[in-house]
Amino acid sequence: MLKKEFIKGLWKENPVLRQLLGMCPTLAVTTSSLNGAAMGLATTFVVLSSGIVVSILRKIIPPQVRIPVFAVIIATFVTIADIVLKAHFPLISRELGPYVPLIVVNCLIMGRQEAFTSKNPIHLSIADTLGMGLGFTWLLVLLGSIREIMGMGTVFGMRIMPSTFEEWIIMVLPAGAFITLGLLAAFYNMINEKKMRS
Amino acid sequence: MVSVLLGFCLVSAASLGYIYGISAERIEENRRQVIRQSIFNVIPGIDDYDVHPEDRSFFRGLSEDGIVAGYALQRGGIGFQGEIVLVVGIAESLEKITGVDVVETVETPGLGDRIRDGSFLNQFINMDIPDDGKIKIDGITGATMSSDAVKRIIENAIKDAEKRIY
Repeated sequence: MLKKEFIKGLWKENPVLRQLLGMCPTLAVTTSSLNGAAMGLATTFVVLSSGIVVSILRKIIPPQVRIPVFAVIIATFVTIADIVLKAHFPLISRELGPYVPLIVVNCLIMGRQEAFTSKNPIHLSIADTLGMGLGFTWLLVLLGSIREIMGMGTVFGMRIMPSTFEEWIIMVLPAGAFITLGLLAAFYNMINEKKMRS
Repeated sequence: MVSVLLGFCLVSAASLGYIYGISAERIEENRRQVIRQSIFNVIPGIDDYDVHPEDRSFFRGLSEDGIVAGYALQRGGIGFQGEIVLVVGIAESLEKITGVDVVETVETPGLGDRIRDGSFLNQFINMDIPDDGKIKIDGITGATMSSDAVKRIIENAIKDAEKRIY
């Protein structure tokens, strides 16, 4: 049960490829692998912590005002993440800049509270949100790596393409994000269809 | 219902206030460190620096025996996405730029934020300042607005330096 809730976010119900949630950070910050990883982990922290709080307090949150309450809880953890990054990891904070406060509007986070943690006990909520967060993270790292390799010839800042490689500038431009995500989603559907047939 | 919502807001505000309180000093210290490091980066070989009495963002780089070796100005301007803040180093003779460092930027990751890369910033080291104060730079492909903003901020810094020498 616990394992099932955790695993589903990684592939079967992947927030990016299956639910197509949280597209704004997915498209905007994945210009490099490092940015993708930092955004993914910051989002994981927020979805996990707000999931725990919502799950603990789910019985005292009146259903009429649940959305504003979720919003307050999520915004609190996003601000905590922003302050902590600024104070202890100034380099990552400079790298992500305005995208950290924008985690607050990532619909993946609100989606988990509404769909799962507000109806389930804490251990299942931890498994669910952690799985979703990490499912989001690995996809952002993959997307960022593909774009960084094609667009700048490096991955995590290390050069791996030969110096004769002509960088495809379009891959680090917004259009590159749409192209890469579209191809990944198509590939994902192809694999799932093959699995279903066999 | 209203009281529960209000309660959540109060707890949230209190915890954020607490966390900000214990982190504010560190955040400010990080910022000062960045600027301090930048001043040493853009004026080579200095031992210390002092601050202009009226303009807290104008610094004088001092060599070991207290002689003014150059000036550093912290100046900002609007780039493509938002404010860019630079520290610009200018030689004591006002004839050369000695270096430029980016302190703050929210330019597009992967494009405009390449103004922080050495391959872009190194061109300013020992760059001659023409008589009219207009410099020529190699911009970044796909980030013309950000490159132009950097050029503009540097030119303003040069103008200010000429005005402010004390």
